[in-house]
Amino acid sequence: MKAFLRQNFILILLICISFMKGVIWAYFLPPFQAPDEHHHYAAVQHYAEPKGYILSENFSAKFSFFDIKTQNLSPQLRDTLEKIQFENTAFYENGKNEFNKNSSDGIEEQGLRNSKLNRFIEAYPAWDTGYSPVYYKTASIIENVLSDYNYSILEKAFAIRMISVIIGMLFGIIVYFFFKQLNFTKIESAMLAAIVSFQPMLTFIFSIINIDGLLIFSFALFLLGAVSLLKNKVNFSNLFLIIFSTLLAINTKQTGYFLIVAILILSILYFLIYHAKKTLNFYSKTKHKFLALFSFGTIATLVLSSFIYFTVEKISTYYNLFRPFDILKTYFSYQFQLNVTINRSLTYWGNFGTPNVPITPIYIYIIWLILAVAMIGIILKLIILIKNYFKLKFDEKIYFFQMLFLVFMVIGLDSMIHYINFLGFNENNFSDPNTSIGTPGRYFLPVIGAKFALLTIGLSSVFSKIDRKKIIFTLFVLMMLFNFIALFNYIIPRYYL
Amino acid sequence: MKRYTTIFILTFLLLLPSAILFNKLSFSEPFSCPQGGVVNLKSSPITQSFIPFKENLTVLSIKTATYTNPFIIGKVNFSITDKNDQQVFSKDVSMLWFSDNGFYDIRVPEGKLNKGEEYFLSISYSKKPKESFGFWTTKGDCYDGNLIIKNKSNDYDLMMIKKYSQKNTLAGFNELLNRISQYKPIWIKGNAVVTIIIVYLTLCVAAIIVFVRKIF
Repeated sequence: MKAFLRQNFILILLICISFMKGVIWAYFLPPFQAPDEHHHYAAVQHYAEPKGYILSENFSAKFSFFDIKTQNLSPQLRDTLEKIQFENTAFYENGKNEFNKNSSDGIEEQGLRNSKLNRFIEAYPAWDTGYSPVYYKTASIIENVLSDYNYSILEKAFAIRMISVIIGMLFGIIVYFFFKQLNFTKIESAMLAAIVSFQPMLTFIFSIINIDGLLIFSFALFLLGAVSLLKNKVNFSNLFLIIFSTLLAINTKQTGYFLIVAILILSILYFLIYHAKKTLNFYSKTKHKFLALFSFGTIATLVLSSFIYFTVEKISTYYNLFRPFDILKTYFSYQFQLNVTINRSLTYWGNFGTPNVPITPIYIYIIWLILAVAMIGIILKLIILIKNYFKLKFDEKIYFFQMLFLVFMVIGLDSMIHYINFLGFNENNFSDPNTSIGTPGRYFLPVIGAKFALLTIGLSSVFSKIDRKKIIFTLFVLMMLFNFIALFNYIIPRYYL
Repeated sequence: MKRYTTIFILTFLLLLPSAILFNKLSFSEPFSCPQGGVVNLKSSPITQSFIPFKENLTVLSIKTATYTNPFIIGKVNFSITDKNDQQVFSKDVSMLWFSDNGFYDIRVPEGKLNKGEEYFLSISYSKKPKESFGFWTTKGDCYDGNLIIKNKSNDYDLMMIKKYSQKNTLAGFNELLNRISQYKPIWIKGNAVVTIIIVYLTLCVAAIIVFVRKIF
């Protein structure tokens, strides 16, 4: 036991920090002040309903996102949202609530605790997100257990937030092992896991009631399985990780389907590392060349034509005239406007609340500078690896393919989110972070581990004369500082000062 | 020695955000005004009247609009006069402190503004920049006060949140703790929050110490 603790002291310390960080963020964020958090809680209460809880009335109010009276929430939840002045801070970006003087209980807190309102909805259809049963079922157990002990909705919501905190802790452990598979040392992996864990938006997601935490965790499991597969060849544990994480991701959110494409790319890269020679020998014989060309050509044509057909068909439902290139041009020129780009970056790095608690854009400019330098480094590194490919030792080739896979994961997921957003626009209210699915930053967080691995590789390529440990330590300090700034200088002042 | 200096500097740096928070704590009154548009500051000043609803009004938090420009070179003057046109406060501020769609806190010394009396905040350029700059307003007339631009009264107000200080730092700290504890689980209220924060910060500093010792 002592030896285990000594050997893994840093990891254990980081797990403790991750847990405390999660508890603090879950505590300091007022209840339900997160994207759709009251809707997710409504789904939890629906899953908590006893068997046979069926009502005949139909809930018929016309839904409005900014009016909770039109949303099918339980009387208990609706009453709570009114008492905690939810709309004032959620929907008014400058709203400040009224506080009880000289008391740690809110003005209506006792009334809320003594309330006997029904915690289940009284008319169907329920607020049901239609997916992520694993998350909601787990949360509903807490909802039922704490209700049996007569705890109020405040305790229940906080306890359910702790599910995300625990997922965040587990995420930190997985990411640590992920970095170790990329040949970072123990200390470097620990610091990198901490850097990722301290990213403010990730901390935020892992401290609220939201299924994105589980999705990010499943992607982390997948990345671990994938880099392990490329490094150690296929075995039971990495195959299990890949399959389990893909199923969990698909179960959690539709974004999970991306992992099916990732498995295809992973298979190709795996073949190129371990079976390229055999494959090349096979196709070197003449008839096999034609067979290979024909197979590849057919598949490529089918995929490309399906993509084009699907895209054009979707666009043509909105536009009378077929103008795909004009629309693409308009979409990109909109997305690359400075204020739109800043808003999108803010939702990735620091826009908390619903979201309406942004950090100052000056931090985004600093981050962009670091990312630009890192990107130059990654490109340089890849060029050098490709140029010297045939001189590389086998482990270096594996490292190269791991990098390629990470690049695919980052570019692939980002492209997929943008593509779906692009297909969902309408000509009256063109794609922006608030229309269609929008492009809120948390949708891009599932590949954060891959991004930070590439960022570190890029920066250490550019600053090759500096010890990589020191570069990572600098990033660690900066990220921890950034996290503290987000909490103490943005979240607390926004809600309490 | 170098290690310990590094640890000390890093610890100080990490505790800086919390120190900034606790320095000059001031607390807002309830505010639920929807946001309107932007009024640009031009050659003539903008004047907003307001009435403190209790003693120790020390911060007027106004929302600025720099049209995505992160660095505007210029200076703005904030001056406050009472109903007898006597100046009670004046300050020139570099526009580098203003962020787009962020709040700027005009800090007024304690005792300058009295409860129930009407005051006038006047904003003008001391050094006019090349870029456009303005202030956000409320949608409609939102609080006791009047926004005057070019001698004309408007039916909306500046997006301005009034904040009040406590008697001393300890009272301010207790007020913050009370506010944070409201509508929170019964297991963690008041001083328990302080304990958790101290444990968390200690663990973070411990991590810094461990990494510095291993790396340097």
